[in-house]
Amino acid sequence: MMGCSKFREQLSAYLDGELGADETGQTEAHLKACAQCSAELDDLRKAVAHLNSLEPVDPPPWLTQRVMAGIKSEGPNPVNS
Amino acid sequence: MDDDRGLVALCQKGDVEAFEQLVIRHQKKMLNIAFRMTGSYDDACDIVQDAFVSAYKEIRRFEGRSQFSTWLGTIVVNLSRNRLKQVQASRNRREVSINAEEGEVGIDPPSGEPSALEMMEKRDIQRGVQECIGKLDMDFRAVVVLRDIQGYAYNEIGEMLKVAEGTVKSRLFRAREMLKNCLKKTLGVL
Repeated sequence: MMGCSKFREQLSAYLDGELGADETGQTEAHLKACAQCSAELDDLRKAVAHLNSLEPVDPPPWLTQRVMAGIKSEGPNPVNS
Repeated sequence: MDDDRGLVALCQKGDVEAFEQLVIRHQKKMLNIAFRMTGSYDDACDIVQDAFVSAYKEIRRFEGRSQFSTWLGTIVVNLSRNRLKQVQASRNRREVSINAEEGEVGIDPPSGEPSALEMMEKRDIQRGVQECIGKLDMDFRAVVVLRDIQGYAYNEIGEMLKVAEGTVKSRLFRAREMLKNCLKKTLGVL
């Protein structure tokens, strides 16, 4: 019988659907019986949601041009040299 | 992306324009990996440039066993780690935070949507989250950025970081625990 600490280690992978069927079943059974681990899962889910919600930054309009200038200054593709 | 294979094949024959298509297609994702890893928009732009130049030089060695974006992401992660090491070594580390100038980049909301107050609150949360990411050690930071911000699968992250999937899983568990605790302190509530 696994204790809470072991289940808590599994919660991150459980959140991602990365546990096997047996482990998922055991984790879900434990979560139904353990309010503390359920609260941990809830907090973990919120923390991950904050990460998911980070706004992506846009590249500056000149980036492609600068990258390509860097590439052209390298000379021809090595495959042709 | 499926079309990457065709473009990569053209690049391997020396087609620079095909490479430019790959740059246009992947620069935003790569910039965001570097930005979240380093916390610096300027450094992220430099890293993306260096990564594409490096990929171009090595493109003939790319055998297509992984996706092009995974291969490119590996280069970006490694360059981001190197940049962080340089910054730490010089002991001149800027605080990893989204300063006003950086924070404004790319987060212009569609007009007429959230109120100014909501925007301020959102910006504070985003700043707090980035601060907490910046407090993680590099190995933990990398898994969080790749999984929770960029959405890579565990096997792809393992490939990029050259570690087993089990290691990805355990690092992610520890990283999320640290982040959760940091966010509680920084934001007050989750």
